[in-house]
Amino acid sequence: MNVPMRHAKEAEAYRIGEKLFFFRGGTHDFACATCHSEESKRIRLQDLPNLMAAEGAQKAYTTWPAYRVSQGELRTFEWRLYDCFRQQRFPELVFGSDAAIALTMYLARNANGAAFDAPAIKR
Amino acid sequence: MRPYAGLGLLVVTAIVGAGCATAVDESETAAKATAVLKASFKPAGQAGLDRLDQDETQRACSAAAGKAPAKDVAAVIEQANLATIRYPADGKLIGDWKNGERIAQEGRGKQFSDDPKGPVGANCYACHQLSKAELSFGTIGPSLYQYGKLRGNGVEVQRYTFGKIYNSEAFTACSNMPRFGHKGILSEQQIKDVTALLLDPASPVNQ
Repeated sequence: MNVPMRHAKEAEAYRIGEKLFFFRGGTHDFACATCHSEESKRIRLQDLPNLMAAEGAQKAYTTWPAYRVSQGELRTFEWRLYDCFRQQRFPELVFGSDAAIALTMYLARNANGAAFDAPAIKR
Repeated sequence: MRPYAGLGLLVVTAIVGAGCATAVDESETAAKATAVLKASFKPAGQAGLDRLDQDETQRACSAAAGKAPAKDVAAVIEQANLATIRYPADGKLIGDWKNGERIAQEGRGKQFSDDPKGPVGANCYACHQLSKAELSFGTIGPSLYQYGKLRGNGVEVQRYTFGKIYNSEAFTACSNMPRFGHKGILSEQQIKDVTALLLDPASPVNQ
C-alpha cells in the first residue's frame, strides 16, 4: 500500500473522508468511529479493527475484495462501507459517490506500508 | 428546540476561540464533508435522507472527532439532553425483565433493510455483557453483569437507569450509546422492561 497525497484533490478527499469517519447521525447517533476508533473492541463476538491506526486499517483495507462465506458472495470494500452505513441506520450509500471515494481514500491512506493481500476469505 | 439554543453558539465560539487558520479550515472541511455526504446517499426503506440532518448534539460530538469534548461543551450537551428525558406519568420505572431480555437480544430495527412494522430492539448485547449465560456480547460498552446487585434497587438508581437508557448524552456527553427514548427507538414500556432487566433482583443480570 502506497497511496500518495501529492495532488490537492487527494489531500482534500482524505480530509473529507476523515470528517465523514466522525460524522454522527441517524436514529442511533452512530459514526464509523463509534465502532472503529479503539483497540481490542468487539461487537458481539466479532473483532472490530481500529481504522485510525495503521495496523487496523492495514488488516481491514488490504483484505477486500473478499469471499464472504456467510453470504456465499464475493464482496468489495465499497460494499463493506455500504453495509456499515446500513447498520449505522443511515440511508443507502450510492456506489461511486464522493463520500464512498473520500472514505476509501482515508482508509487506504491509513493502510500505507502494508502488503495488499486480496482477495481474502471472511466469515 | 429550546434546550439546544446555547449549544450551536458554543460550538462556533470554540472554533473561533481557537483562532488559527487550521480551525477555520476544519470548519470548512466539515461543511464540505456534510455537503458530500448529503449528495452520496439515497433514501431506502424506512431510512430517508433526513437521517443525515444532525441535531446540535450530533454536530458537537462529530466535531470532537472521537475525543472527549471540552468541559464547557460537554456541560451544555448534558444539560440539553437531560431536559429531554420524560419519566413515566405513572411513576413506575420497572417493567418486565423477561421482555427486557428479549429487547436486549434484538438487533433489528431502524435499518433500511428492516421491516418498518417489525420488532425494534436495543441490541444491548452488541456492546455490553449482561447475563452470565449469554457469551456472545460485545465490549464497546462496560460490562453490566450484576448491575443491580452492585448498585441496589433504590429510587435514585431506578431514575438514573431509566434516564440513561432514555438519553445517555444527559450523563456522558458524546457517549457511544444511542439515545433510545429521545430518538424514538424504544417505547416507554420497552425502556421500563430494559430497566427491569438491569435492576430486578430476579433478572439473570443480577444472579
